[in-house]
Amino acid sequence: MTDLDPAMHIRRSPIYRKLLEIGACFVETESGVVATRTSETATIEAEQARHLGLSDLTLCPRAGYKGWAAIDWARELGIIIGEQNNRTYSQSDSTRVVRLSDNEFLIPGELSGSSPAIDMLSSARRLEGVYSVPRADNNCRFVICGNQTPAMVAKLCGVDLRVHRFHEGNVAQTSVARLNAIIIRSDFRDVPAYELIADIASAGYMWNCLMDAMSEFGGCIVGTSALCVLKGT
Amino acid sequence: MTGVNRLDAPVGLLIDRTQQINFRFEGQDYQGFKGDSIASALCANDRWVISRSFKYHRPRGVLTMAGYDSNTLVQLDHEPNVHADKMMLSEGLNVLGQNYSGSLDQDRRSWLGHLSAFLPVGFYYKAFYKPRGAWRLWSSLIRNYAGLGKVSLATTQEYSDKSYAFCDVAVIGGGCAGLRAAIQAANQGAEVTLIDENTALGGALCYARTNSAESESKEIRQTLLAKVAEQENILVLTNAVANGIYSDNWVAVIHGRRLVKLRAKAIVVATGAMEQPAVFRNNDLPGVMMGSAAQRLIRLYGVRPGRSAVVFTSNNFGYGVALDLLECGTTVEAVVDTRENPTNSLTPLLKEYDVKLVTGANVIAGISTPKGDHVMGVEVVAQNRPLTEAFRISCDLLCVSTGFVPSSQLLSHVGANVAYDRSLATFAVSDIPSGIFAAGSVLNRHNLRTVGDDGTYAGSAAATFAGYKAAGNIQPPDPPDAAEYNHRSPIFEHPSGREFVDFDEDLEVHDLRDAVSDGYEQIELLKRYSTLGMGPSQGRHSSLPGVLIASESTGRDPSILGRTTVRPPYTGVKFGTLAGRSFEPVRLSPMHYRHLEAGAKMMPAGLWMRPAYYGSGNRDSIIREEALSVRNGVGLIDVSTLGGLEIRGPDSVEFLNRMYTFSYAKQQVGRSRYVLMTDRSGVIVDDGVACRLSDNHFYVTATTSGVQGVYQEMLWYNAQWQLSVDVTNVTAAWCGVNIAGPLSRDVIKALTNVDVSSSSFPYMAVREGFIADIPARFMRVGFVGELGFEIHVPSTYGEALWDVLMDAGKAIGITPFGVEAQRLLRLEKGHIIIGQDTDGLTHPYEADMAWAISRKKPYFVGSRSIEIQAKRSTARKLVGFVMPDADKDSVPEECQLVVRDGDISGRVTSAAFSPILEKVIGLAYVEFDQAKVENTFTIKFADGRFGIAHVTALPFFDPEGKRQEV
Repeated sequence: MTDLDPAMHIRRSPIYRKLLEIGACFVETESGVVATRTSETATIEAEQARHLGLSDLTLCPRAGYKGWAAIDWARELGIIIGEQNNRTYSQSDSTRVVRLSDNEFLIPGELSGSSPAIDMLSSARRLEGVYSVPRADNNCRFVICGNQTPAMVAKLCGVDLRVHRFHEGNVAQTSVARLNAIIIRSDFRDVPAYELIADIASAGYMWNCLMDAMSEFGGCIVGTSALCVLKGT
Repeated sequence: MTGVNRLDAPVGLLIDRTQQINFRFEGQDYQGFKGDSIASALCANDRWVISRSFKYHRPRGVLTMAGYDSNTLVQLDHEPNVHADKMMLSEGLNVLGQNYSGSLDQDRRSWLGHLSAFLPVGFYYKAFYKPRGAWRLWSSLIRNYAGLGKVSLATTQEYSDKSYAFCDVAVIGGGCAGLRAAIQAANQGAEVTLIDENTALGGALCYARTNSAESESKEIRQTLLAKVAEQENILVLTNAVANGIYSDNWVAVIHGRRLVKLRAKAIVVATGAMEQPAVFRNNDLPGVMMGSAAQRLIRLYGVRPGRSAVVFTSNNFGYGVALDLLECGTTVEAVVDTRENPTNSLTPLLKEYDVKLVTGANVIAGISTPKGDHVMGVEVVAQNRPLTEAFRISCDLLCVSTGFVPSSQLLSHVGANVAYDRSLATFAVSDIPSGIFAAGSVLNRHNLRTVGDDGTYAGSAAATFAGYKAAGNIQPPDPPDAAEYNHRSPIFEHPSGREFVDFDEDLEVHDLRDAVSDGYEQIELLKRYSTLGMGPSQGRHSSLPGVLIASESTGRDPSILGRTTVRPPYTGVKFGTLAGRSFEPVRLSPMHYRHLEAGAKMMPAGLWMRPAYYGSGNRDSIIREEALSVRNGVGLIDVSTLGGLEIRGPDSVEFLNRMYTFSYAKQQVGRSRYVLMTDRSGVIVDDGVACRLSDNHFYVTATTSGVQGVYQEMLWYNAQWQLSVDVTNVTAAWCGVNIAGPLSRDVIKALTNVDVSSSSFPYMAVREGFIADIPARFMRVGFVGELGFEIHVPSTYGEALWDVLMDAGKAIGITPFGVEAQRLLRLEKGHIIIGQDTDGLTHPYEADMAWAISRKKPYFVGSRSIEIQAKRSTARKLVGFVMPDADKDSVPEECQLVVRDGDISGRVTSAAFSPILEKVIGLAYVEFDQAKVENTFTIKFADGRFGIAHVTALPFFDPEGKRQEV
């Protein structure tokens, strides 16, 4: 099914070999080559993902900023950031901004690989007290979705991530399988979804831990097309 | 056929008669049903001896059928000490008894029982210690005899894991009280997790008889189970053991091979009570069991516990046991009731069966078969009558129902007080901490209605504590009623002894009396001296009689004597369960798989994996070849694991000046400078380079294993100093390679937009640009002493960078080289590795690194200490050495000693055979007066040989640095 070799592109996810092993199909986006499908149709994958799915979004765009002036700087540029830490704030273009602390925020970009908010901030003049954080290369980014996700993640993380306790837009900066991680509840309409952002050098380790935890629940790896189906985009 | 003692349905709640299971016990084939425990299947097959006792090798059979005792510990192929009365049968299971020599039925060591006079309590402390050295002889003999079961070293590792769970109210125990508590808490809106160690919910409702028609408990159970099933907010975990309660209501629940870490806002402990054995001669014979054990065999497994029975009781439960036996076809020879005038609604029914009722009497002994493997009768004597007036009743089953103790272990874990209560004739729980509630028999309530009411009351209180609206009109339950059920002291001494108090350790009444006589009157000391309660049962059945005997022997009130401390875990737990699935994070460079494809032998470096060298064959030869490739051509090494820190902000220079020993005020943009970090005591802790990318931006490298500590130190100091600077750890964000060797420039010059000529890009310069369209930072560095470029790129481009460089260098023989070759190359240049050539005490003067200290700036971390050290004489110094007489096969190893006049005067930190210099070189700490160039010193090899080393000026190779600065 593979028709595009991610190894032929200069930007590669640390997980691409694992995706190749299962015959994933890749497409090129603005930010890199991502696995779009792991089976014949995205619809089938989407149905599986309603139960439990894992997808690699490492090459989807991300940006982060920190510093004592970072939040105000972003606000002045039109980014909506509320007062509460560990929350996501939706922008007018459906981008989400994750406020991590009084001095830091993160923008997980879109599946499509384009992200106007990220582009805008990266080209804006940086003030004193605003520093970029190389989130796109410092961290891997996975999404775990489906009804079984809380039960599965409970094997790896000590935070109560059940859907009625950890709501859409909630953020946890915690430890997952003994790695520092950021977990963002970011549903695909009626399907609970949790983005996981962790150390990119440990991406393979984390992926294996997730796969191991998933096996009990019959979860599967899905591509970004299935996520788009779930999102309705 | 699944056994001569198998009863027809409807009894047998847990078994599925449609599924026969084949298994082996002691080499013989047996059959049971799915749902049978090993013990129930054996009993069904009339097999009563299941194991042997620990000390005297006495035959033992079922006692509780609850997994609470050590009588039924058996050996499976890959697991010792399995409770046969809890472990479910599985097809093909191979089971053996434990603690025997020869066969279970004919144990060659059963003669040990005859030596009991020579094995008094505390004999360990009284014997074996003299003459001096005797213990060594005894210990091997004792170890051969002692121990429970055998661990198979061939056992494959089981998969165990852990998970986290949360609830408002955790209810531990799924009996009547627990079910009612769960239902009430759920009714108030709480999320409830109901935990029960058994397969079926219901506790004693599953097997106990509470009325003449036997239907009451069954109906109550069905009603409660239906209500639990209706509640969506009750999660039921059966076969789940709450093994401990820790701080903040953290409940460790063992559920199969999973340890569930449950956090609850409130906890209801409804763990019930444990029926207690009476203490009389031969009370351990197979065929002597708790009344509740007989009922479990009948109701849970459909097994007749015996053909002719005597019931020995102090309460009305015993009458229910007798009726149950009668209804399953067992002849009840007599009910022996210790009470003079028992009142009981079941008595008329027993009389209908012509059961002999002996009141005001005690069973004082079990009579064993000639082989000693089963009870064949009992000796009974009326109270206040001499033993000579005892009479015998024949039977093959003796059921004992003389009282209970609360299953209060979990409450002890949380600090509740558990002490003997004279009014209840058992232990009682008090002072339960806030947020923990208890209900039912664990609070010494046994009447079924009271137990249920107590459950509702506790469930309501727990839900309210968890933040849910309190329910109205729930009345407190009736007070504890255990006095009706407990014999005040069911201990009946016999002149011939063998009245076992602790079945685990074969402790008899006289053993405890002797221990008290030896002076061990305090209950904790008594426990340790006598081993009372220290066996697998952890005192579940011996604690109460132990306290009563100690009380009688000392004349002290048992409530004052207290009780031994009960700590987690509640039951035995496997190491695998505690360990769970191992989570050992591993960090991989983006180029990792390219190294594997190139045949790299990987080695750990902190959490990272790094290539030690590439290829198979002679390791040392490969390393030397890799080093020579760098010296003579071009080599490529992955340096992604090096730490990377972005230091940004107007105070960056000031920050670096304070953190590192050098001065950075005059460092130009586009230049790099060595950084050396010391701690407050002046000890070297890390090094690297600081690349100035702009006026207010430094990219600082750190060692692979040191970067996390450096980062944390920087954050800590930054918080103290309040400078306008930001520190970001970008170790994983940037990966890198060092392309080194005289041909390195040739490889990269066509790939990059950076002018890499010597004039435009000199040694120690830094540039930003692109290489093969990849954004990159370029650094001219000289760690290996050759023309070289460190190229750092964002991590997602790392593998492509490696591919591009290997491809571009292919024509001129680019060689990947590993950490070992790099170590050799840097040694030739005399560069130290922090942590290898330094230790936890090394200060810069010892390491000959005074050149890296700026004396012009007012402060850096460790400056004051270094200032003091500079004024003191240095005791040791790191020097370079060569060994002219040594060849490549006689290279000293790291940490081998420098010896002077027979004393240790230093140690080797690095050594290697240099292929370019063709001699053995190294670094070593020597005494200060040995450090002068051309001095010699002696190194002692591992095999005892000595070698002469000559102190040499550093670096060994290219002292003028011409090769790296081209």
